[in-house]
Parts: sequence; C-alpha cells; structure tokens
Amino acid sequence: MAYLEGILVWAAIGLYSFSFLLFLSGLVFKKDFFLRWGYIACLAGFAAHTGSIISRWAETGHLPVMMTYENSLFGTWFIVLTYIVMRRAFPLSRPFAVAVLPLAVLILGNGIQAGAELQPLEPPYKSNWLYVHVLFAWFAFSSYVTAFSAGIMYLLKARAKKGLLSRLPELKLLDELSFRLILFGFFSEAIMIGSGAIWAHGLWGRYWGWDPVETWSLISWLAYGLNIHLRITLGWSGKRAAWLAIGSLFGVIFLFFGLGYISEVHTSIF
Amino acid sequence: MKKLWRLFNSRKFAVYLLFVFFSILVLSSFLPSKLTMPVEKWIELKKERPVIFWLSERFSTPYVVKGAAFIGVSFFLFLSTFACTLSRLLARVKTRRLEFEKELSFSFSVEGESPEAIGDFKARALDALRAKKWDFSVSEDAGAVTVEAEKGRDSGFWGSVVFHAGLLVCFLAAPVTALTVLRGDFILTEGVTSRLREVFVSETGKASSLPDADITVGGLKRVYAKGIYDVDFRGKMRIEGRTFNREFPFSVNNPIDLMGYQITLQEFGYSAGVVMEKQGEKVFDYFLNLRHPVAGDYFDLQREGDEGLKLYALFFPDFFREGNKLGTRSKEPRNPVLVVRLFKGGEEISKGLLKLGEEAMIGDYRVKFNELRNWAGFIVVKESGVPVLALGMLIGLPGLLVRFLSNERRLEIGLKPGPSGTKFAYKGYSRYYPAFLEGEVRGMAEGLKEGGDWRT
Repeated sequence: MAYLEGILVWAAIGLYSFSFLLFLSGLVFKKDFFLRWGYIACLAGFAAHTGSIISRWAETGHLPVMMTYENSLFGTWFIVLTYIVMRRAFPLSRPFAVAVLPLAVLILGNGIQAGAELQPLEPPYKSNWLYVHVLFAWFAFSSYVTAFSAGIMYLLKARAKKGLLSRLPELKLLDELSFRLILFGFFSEAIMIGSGAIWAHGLWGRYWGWDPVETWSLISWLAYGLNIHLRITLGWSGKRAAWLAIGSLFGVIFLFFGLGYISEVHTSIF
Repeated sequence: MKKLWRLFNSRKFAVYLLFVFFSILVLSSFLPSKLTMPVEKWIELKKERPVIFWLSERFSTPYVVKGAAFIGVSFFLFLSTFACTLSRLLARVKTRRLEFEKELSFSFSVEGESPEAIGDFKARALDALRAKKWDFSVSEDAGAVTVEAEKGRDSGFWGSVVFHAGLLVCFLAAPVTALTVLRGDFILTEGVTSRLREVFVSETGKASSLPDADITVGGLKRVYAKGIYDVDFRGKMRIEGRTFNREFPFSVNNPIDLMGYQITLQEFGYSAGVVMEKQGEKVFDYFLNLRHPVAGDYFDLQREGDEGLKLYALFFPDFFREGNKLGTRSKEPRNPVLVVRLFKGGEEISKGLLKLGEEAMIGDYRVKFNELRNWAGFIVVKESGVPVLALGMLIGLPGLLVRFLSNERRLEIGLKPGPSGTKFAYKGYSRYYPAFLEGEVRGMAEGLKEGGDWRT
C-alpha cells in the first residue's frame, strides 16, 4: 500500500477502536458524554477511511474493488456509512456502533494481513457493470451486517432488561430496523446478482455457471428470502427473527471471505 | 386436482420448497467442481481421492442442478410461486381488502383528551392526515366522529406481486436457455486463417448451424503494468463469409456479435513457430500454442518412423539464468527463449534452449525457433435465455423496490365530546412496522393534544 494510504488506514483502525471503547464506556457508565465522543471518533475514523480509499484510488487509477484487501477496505467503508446514515435517520440506533465497529475493524485487519499490493485493474474488471455489481454488493453486505448487529442487540436486551443493556434501543424498534435492513439488503443483493449475470454473459459467454461465487450469492440471497418469508408467512418475529438475522449472515460472510479457502473463486480464465 | 391446487397455493408449502432448494445448493457447493479446477487437478483428484471424485461428479453444484431431483424441486417451486401469486391477485380483485386486515397484524392505541371543541379538533386532525398524505374517510354518529385512515395500502401488495411475477419470468430463462443454446469454443493463432465450422469445438449444438465463414485474428496486443500485471488483451477478427467480409475489434469484456452469435475472448497466449528437420528433411513446421506458462506443454509429433515422439515446450518471454536457475523477469517478450525437450516412449532423448531466431541440434533433429506470435481462445454462444432473464429483472426489481419502500398502515381515530373538551383515541395497525407507526401516531396525537406543531 502507498505511504499516505497506510497512515490513513491505520488512523481509521485506531479511531474506530477508540470509538468502540468510548461507546462501550458510555453504555457501561451510562454517560452520554462517552456516546457523543464515541460518535465523533467514529466520524473522524470514517474521514480517515475515506481518505485512504481516495489515496489508493489515486495511486492505482481504479476504485478498490479487487482482491481481499481492497474489498475489505471498500466494504467496511460501506458498513460504517450504513451505520452513520442509520444513526442520522434513527438516533436511537446510536449504540449499534458497539457491534458494527469491531466487525469493521476485524474485516479491515483480515484484509491487511491478506496483502495490500498496489495493482492496476485487471481486464475482467474493466466493465461498467463492475460499478453496479460492487456498489450493490456492498450495500447488501453492510445492510446485512447492521441487521445482524440489531439481532445481537435484540437478544442481549431481551435477556437482561436492567442495567447496562437497558440503554439499548427498544426491542420492537430493533426488530423492525432489522427487518427493514434485511429488505434493503435483499433488494440490493438482487441487483448485485442481476448485474453480475449480465457482466458474466459479456465476459464468459454465460449468465450463470454455478461456480462457487454464483452459487453462494444465490444461497445467501435465498437465505434472506427465507428469512423474509418466515417473518411474513409464518409470522416469525422477536427472538426467532433475531436469530434468523444472525444466522443468515453466515452465507454472506462465507461468500465474501470464506470461498477463497475452499476453491477458485470464479472460473480460472480471465 | 383441488388438493393439488391447495397444496401449491399454500405459502407454507412454498417456504418448505424454498428450504429444500436452498439446502441442496448449500450441500452441493462444498464439493469440488470441475468447473473451477484446472484439468490436471481434476485428474489428480480422481487418482488420489476417488470417493470425493465420485461424489463430486454426481453431487457438486454444476452436476446436481442438472439432476432430476433439483429440476423437480425447481419446477414445483415455480408452480408454487405461480399459484400463490395468482391466488393473492384473485383474492385482492375479488375482495378488495388489505391483506393485513385479514391476517395477523400488530396494533396499539393512544388515548387522551384535548381542551378543544370536537369540531376544531377534528379539523386539525384531518389537516394533519392530509399533510402526511393519508387517505381517509369520516363518519359521524350521535356527536361521535370516527376517522378511518390508510397509507401505503396498495404499494406493498403490488410490489410483492410484481416482484414474484418477475421472478417467475427469471425462472423461465433456465429452460429457454437449455432448449436454445449453442455453445462451444475455438482457438486461433495470429495470422492463420481457419474455417469457423472446422475449428469450432462444440459443447452444445451443431457446428453446422454456425455461419459458413473464414476467420483470422490479427493485431493481437497484450499490455502489462510493470511487466507482470495484466492490463489489457485485445485484437481484431476478420470474418469472411459468402456475403460479408468484416473486421471486428474484440477485447476482454467486449465480445463480437456475429449475426446473433456472441464470440467472447477467453484465453490469450504465446504461440511459438517451431521448425524441425531430420537429416535435411523438414518433419515439423507449426505454431505451438502455449497454454501453460508455468508447467509447459506437451505436443505429440506423429510421424512415420518416429512413433511416440513428443515435444515438450516451456516458454520464457523475458529469460534470465542465474546459476542453475532459469526463469522469466516479466510477461513481456523482451528476451524470448524456448526450452525444448524431446521424448520418445516416455523417455527424454534430448533437450535444448533456443532464443528467438536460433536453431540447434537436439538429438537427431535440427530445431529452429523461428517466430513468435500470439494465439487467442474464444467461446461462441447463441441462446435466447438472456432476454428472458433481462425481462424478468426489469419486471422484478422495480417490484422489489416498491415492496421495500412500502409500509402498509391503518389508523382509526375516534373522537367524542368529553367533560372539558374532546376525548380522542388513536388506534393503529401496521403489518410489519408497529414501532415505527407507534412513534409516528404518538407524535401526531401529542401534537394535536397540545395544539402544537405537527410533528411525528
């Protein structure tokens, strides 16, 4: 990675970690002061994170969309962005940072250890569909991660209604936010799959080939489809829905980070 | 028949089918597949782990999806989705009722008292509903006023119906593709003209259905950054038929469209021109399309008197030698060198190292590396599933967006004269977002109660 990018990425990691500690302190000591400064630290981390993406973009000449490090860099940016947007729309969701920020730091860390070599954009990525595909992939991923956080908080709050956890948002609100986020993620993932299919047709002459990435993107989409149907058709809500939101993320995590360990990602030519 | 209709019409049954479909995909995806493995590794798997290979050949995703069980489940899922969507549509047309009126929906109520007269309170309550674009109707009975208001009544339902209709069309793309597809590939060496129908290796469909044309690729260009990172591969293809003669540019992601046949660049490699002579007689003069830059390639040299003769070629585009170590510094042909080894009956008989333009005696043969070109591999496809899939997405995605944005909710506001003004009761119903609606209506009621600003 470039020198400036390195400084900014590590600054973002430091600020996100500091922000997490402040949020945690805010919940433990019931001090609004910590929550306020936690949010400010999160915004500062986000600014550094944005700077690191711009720096890498300037260095490589393309958006960071290739390989584990770039996906982690860009993906976590979307996760934090989703949190910030939600925090603005629903101020009660401020404590979501306790679940979202550690995940972002972990994903970024995983990306850095995978290698951050500066590389030009490879020929298969030179397609306008790339931007649609990647943008909506990260919208979906960040929504699912935030829904997962809402699910975790729901279960924590449902277990202990007094003390530290009583400062978490209301159960009903957590449940509904989670459902809304899942619906948005489901919509975004549908666009991701559709644009990927069109891109694949121009690149490999077929729109669907059942390679591991395609199969797992369908699996994770179906998992959330099942999730939505269980809520709507069978009336699942509350704890069961929270477990669904948590469990469904497995497919997405596997799709984004686990597939590389079991097989070639897409077909091996171009 | 009625029982069958009832079964397919059950949304629970659809959920179970979806679960089966999902489970098959999850289980099959953990098995290795030929699709994402180099041929050598696939053969290695067959030798070293025969049980896994046996399972993979039958149950890995690309195979299992072609099996009767998966096709059957998919077909039932299609029928079930179709039946559920149709029956929702019919019920809606027939009863004109909101689904959440007859299904389990969440409700809550907010009650209070305002010092205002009932007429004034009602006027402000209706203004507030109007400002937030609620549809409402008012009825009065013996001094009591009832307001029934709805919002997002249709969007959720129609969004869902349109999305499922789009999904059904997407489902149809699979059989349309299977029934109409022609697919195969071919490889061309730069500057060598071939007949399309002859070089085409079919996977599905007949080569005879392709246009009768001669094809030549030229101007093949490769671009690397720092000599090692792939940046661009492109070229031009001349296609000459009886009635046409055109040159098409192509590159990765930029296929050629020839009368509905999509010709897509898939592979790119170096092609070494090699001439072999034995006792003054030319025995071999071909371009070797080198496909394995690291492992090298073997070529059978079938010739009378020299049965079982094989040539192994390993190409270094930017050759270097450090002691016993041979290698390439980059992928660019700055110092092209070809390593040639000759085998007979599996035994190596001789080997040599040739720079471009050089010749050397390797065993009994005079071998010359006389030219370096590129070769390109293409996939040819024609099918009708793509427009069906695109149509399905065009229908389904807007439906899904509307479904996502929808929020069906209903309010019943009861007003009656109280001892010091107006008693009011807001009762709200929301199918999915009762907490959001509660916040919205509580704010509305509080605002009215205090005679304050309209806020939610």
